[in-house]
Amino acid sequence: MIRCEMIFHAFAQVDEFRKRYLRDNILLLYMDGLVDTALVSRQIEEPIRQGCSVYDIPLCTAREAENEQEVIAALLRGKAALLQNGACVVADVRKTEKRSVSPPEEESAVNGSKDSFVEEMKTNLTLLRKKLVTAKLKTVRKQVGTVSHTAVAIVFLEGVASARLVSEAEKILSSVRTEAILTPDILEQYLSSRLYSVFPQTLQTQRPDKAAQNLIKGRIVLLVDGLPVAFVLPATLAQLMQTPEDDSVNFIFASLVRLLRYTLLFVELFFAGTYVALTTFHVEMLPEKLALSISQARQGVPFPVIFEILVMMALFEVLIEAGMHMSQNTGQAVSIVGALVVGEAAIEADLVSPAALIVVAVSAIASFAMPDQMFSNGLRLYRLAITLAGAVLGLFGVVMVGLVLMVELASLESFGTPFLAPLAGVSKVRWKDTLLVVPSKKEHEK
Amino acid sequence: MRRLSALLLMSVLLFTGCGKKEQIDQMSFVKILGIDRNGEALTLTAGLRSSREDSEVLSVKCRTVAEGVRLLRLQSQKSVFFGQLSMVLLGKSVAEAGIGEVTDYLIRSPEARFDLPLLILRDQTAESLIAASLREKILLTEKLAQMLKCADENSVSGKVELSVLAERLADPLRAAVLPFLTGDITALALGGFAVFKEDRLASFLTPDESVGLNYLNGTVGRQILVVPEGKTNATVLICKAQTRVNYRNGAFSVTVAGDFEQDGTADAAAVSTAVGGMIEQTVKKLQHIGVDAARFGTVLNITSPSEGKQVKQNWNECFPRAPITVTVTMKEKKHGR
Repeated sequence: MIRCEMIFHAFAQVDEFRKRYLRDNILLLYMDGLVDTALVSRQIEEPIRQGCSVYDIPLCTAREAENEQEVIAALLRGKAALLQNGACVVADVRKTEKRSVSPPEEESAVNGSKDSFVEEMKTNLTLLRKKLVTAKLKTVRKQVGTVSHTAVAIVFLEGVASARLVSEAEKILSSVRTEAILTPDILEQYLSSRLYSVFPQTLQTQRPDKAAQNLIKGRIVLLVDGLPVAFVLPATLAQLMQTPEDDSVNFIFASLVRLLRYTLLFVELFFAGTYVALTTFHVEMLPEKLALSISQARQGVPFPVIFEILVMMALFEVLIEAGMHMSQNTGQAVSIVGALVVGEAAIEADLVSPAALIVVAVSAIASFAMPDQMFSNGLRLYRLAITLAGAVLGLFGVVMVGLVLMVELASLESFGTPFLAPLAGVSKVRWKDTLLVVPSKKEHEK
Repeated sequence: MRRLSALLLMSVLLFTGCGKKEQIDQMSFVKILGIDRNGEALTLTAGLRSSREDSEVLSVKCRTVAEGVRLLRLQSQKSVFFGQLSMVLLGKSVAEAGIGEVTDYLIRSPEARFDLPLLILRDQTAESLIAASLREKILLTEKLAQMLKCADENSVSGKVELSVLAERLADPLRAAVLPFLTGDITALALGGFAVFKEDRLASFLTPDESVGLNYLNGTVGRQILVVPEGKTNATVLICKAQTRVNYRNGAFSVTVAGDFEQDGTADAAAVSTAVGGMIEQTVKKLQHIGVDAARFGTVLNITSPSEGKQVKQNWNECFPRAPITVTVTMKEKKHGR
């Protein structure tokens, strides 16, 4: 027996709440704006007025609600409710205003597929189901957020993914105590085993093919309603260093590019710090001609090496930040002004040396080569620490912060998997498909 | 993690004395250092570069090398940095008075490299040569490095690094040698090896004797050799030579086996005789001046430690009396003929 008063009380002072008497005490309830009004009038109002009972409305999603709370939740989700003599039928008449599937903005691939996840979880699940046409693709749904009641789906391949992973994900989702999941980082914080780490412990992707590939490899994927990304668990360094392009070009070329990417990781981290340490403490380690070139380039610069490096790093960060928040056209203008001011004018005014500019630019470019932006952000913080340590303690400092970084990376775990696996850990090192790209044909033959 | 962090932070304190912080553009790099002696006084001459174009020469009079280095640092507007030092030239006067002090200072210096090559100047002072190179705008270090490389390939002399020199000076069974330069800045050439008795110059070896010493030490890689062929001369290239020095029944035997290439028709026996002649000449010279610059003493010490121990302190007196025989066998290397 469902009491209308309770529902009316819950929606008091809610402008969008609509109630209409149709006939024979049949009451129609819905939230204006959340429902498709044309669908309501065509599939609900008209059949009821023509004598159809509330149980016979031509909507396959129609079902009987058991209590008031269920009716309230259904109305908030964009469903319409028909009440008659204490019975209630709810039917899905949601108006879905969704973005169409478009190419991914951040993880583009020249040869790969061009679709990306959108904000609608149902669409995202459909995209995955289109990639993996199997009944073994299972989903476990959860609601997260005390206010938002955001739907989260744990997607996995039955028999491939470990049951422990799924149950652990369920446990974590049940333990989430937050009002709403409106940005990916909120969920990321709960999924991370170490909160105060600068490195991501989940892999976020916009690409359904990447998510599908990880599902095949036994990982699980979390889809969140309202977020155009999928969380892949567990995440390792090797995964964060892979791009969708790796599997869509020749594997030999892709292996070389991947090795280059690992080299760039070291360049990003250590290049600026080593430059500062060598030019400040260990000039004898520089080849004579290079030492003379650097010395000549710095003639007239009034600041110490560390100062000009830090200033240039800060300016690059400002440019990146400004470029991100500008529209595409203004962003280009910012880049041009930045390149002219930071680059040419600063050198001509002898505020920085060309060598320092090259060092910072190479480090910055190397950071852009990292496939995962969140991982790159963590590396950027360590780059700053290494540079400062290089300025204070020379190469000792660089090595020391490098060791701290190694300790942090080695101690990170993502859902029970070491972050550095399979490069470090108790199992045998699997170089293939970590540092290199294995042809898919060989992988399957094996 | 906390303990590790605490340990790491504490270990930072250990490194506080390790670094000397200086901006690279505030430095003047000493590329070449010359040391001359005039009686009790030393003259230190430094060829400095602070950029690709700027070169200068600083010269100071002093009583010790350490004092001279300090005076050099005071004279320069920029910080004088010895970490890029790539050549040390020692005047004949320094070599005659003893190179122990110079070697001792350089080996203890935190800035000088262990692979630093040292050379002796026979015909002029280091100060005049370095000053002349600046005047003539000749990159002296590059030129000398190329000459040493060339000498290494031709086995006339060879590069002697600071660490090797220091090791030899401390070894009572093996004398130190250094390559020496002849001529002035316009006709600079490597003359061969200068041999030392303890740390004082004993003699300059001729080019043939220097090659012979390289054979005795087994450091011949390649050598261009001119041998008599009838009424004319033939040129051959020694491309491989292996030397074995043995000690048996109170006598040393030197056995050299090697290959040579030729364009003419030089006889293998003639080549062997020529090589043997050079080695015998060197042995004769070394025994005459009483300096074992080869490795006879070392071989004796390894083969017969008891005898080695007996002669260790007066090896220079015993060495001239040691019987030494030389056997050379050179073969022609034929490429696909």
